[in-house]
Amino acid sequence: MLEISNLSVRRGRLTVVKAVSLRIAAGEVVSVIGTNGAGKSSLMLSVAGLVPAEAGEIRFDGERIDGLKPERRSELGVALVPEGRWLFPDMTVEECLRLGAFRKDLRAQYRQSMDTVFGLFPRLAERRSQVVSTLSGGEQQMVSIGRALMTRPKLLLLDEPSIGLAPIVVRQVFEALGRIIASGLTVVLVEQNVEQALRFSHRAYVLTNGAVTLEGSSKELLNDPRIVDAYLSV
Amino acid sequence: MSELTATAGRQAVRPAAGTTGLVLAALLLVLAILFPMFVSRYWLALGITVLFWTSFSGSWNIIGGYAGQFSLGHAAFFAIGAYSSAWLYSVFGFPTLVGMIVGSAVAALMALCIGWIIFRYKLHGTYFAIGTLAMSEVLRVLAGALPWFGGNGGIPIPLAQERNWLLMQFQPMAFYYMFLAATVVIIALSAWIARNRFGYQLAAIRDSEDVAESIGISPTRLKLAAYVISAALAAPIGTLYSQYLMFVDPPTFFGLLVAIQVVLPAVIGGLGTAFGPLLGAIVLTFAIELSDRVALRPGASLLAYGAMLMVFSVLLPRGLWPLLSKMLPGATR
Repeated sequence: MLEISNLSVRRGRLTVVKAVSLRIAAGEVVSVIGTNGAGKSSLMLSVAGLVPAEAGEIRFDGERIDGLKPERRSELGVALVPEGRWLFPDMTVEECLRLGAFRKDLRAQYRQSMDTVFGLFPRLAERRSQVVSTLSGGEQQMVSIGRALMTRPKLLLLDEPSIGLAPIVVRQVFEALGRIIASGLTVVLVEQNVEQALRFSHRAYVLTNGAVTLEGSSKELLNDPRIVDAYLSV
Repeated sequence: MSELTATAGRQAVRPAAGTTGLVLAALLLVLAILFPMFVSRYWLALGITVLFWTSFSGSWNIIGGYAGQFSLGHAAFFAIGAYSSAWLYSVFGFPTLVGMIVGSAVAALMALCIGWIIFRYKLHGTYFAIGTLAMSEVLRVLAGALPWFGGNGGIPIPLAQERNWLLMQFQPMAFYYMFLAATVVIIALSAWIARNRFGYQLAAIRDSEDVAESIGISPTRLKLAAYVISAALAAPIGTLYSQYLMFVDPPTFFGLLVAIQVVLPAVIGGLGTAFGPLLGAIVLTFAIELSDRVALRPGASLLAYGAMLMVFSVLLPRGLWPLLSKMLPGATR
């Protein structure tokens, strides 16, 4: 479904993603792990089209998308849940979600999409008229995920969904994500919480200084001594 | 729960313009209609000033407030409207109303061309402000340099020999009602935009263009639409104002002072709110009037502009309207 070959991304003077190649099949959950500054977020932003690719190709469903505008990629079915959530602070939950379904092809189904999101996050249904900036961090994350789901994506790019959340809230968010995945959505998950990411995904790529240094099934990686040493041993 | 969701439309989200809001707005309108019948010429002139700045700033508010693109070149569209009607009338004898419509179309076209370049190449914030200012200044210099358009002396609008409303030469009281009509149109349009898809998309762009794009909103197209609407509304106000003054010239219509003055009512009253420019224009008009009287020097008002701009951008960046609207019954924001 998503095929990235030799992708390089530059932010300012630094090349933060260096000739990265990865493939993600439909229905797969793949995590991208790595330390701070390894290039994970830039990779996500580049797939969503918010940061231009310097070199290489990004294909989605066989079609090259690296030259397309972000809104066009959204139409094709790519949705990003950005790190730090990027919400519209003065809007209510319902308004925020509704914005996700403003695309022409989505307007007719917006009520159903909204019901799906509220079904997934009943908490949001309770707070639908509340202004987003007054919500807790976990609830804001739910709005951000919900807004992405409102675009009816095929591929969901999740950038650090657990960042800054209390462990119990992280569990709630991941439970909901589990239900989304069960519905057949393809997910790329970027996480610093490596154990959480590996338990959640089928396969994983390890990014170090912008390059893929390790890849494999999540089960294997969980027991890989290099991973255990670098990320899991505290 | 799901049934509730399905029936909950916009009303459930924000009942701002509930019946109370509409009744208050209607009451305000009745007061505004009655006002000139009971006041002196001095107060009538102040009323015209308030309504003029409300409508002019309200037209700026669509690109500057709702879309969040801080234009400093709005005077250009205002001047295009004034010059179109004055020039077409004085040189070719076209009725002012025709010139007004032509001016609006020219301003819209101008905004389309300039905006297309500016938004395509993603000029944001300060760059947008300076780019639009540069456009306005180029036009000002051109208008001053071309004798065809009256040069630096501008164009005096010839007094009509016949009585014909198409020429739009009125008594002050009629101008008061013209500006009142413009104000009503612009406030209604703003309120409509705010509760429609267009307004929400603009709000998303104002908050973060990146997020807006990532959920399938096209900032370029929407900002361009807002810019064109803004320009098309500013031009007729320019025509009206030039008819009120009976002349056009570069400094009065294209000047830097106008470019800044038009921003102030919206900033003081509340950016991106329908009633903000009205509130701001009232406060501003009286503050300027007072400062000129107290200081007994016309230039004092310039100091007052600067001071107010600083005070409001630091202490009350959202303007006065959010404060006031909290006190009104039935209104949420």
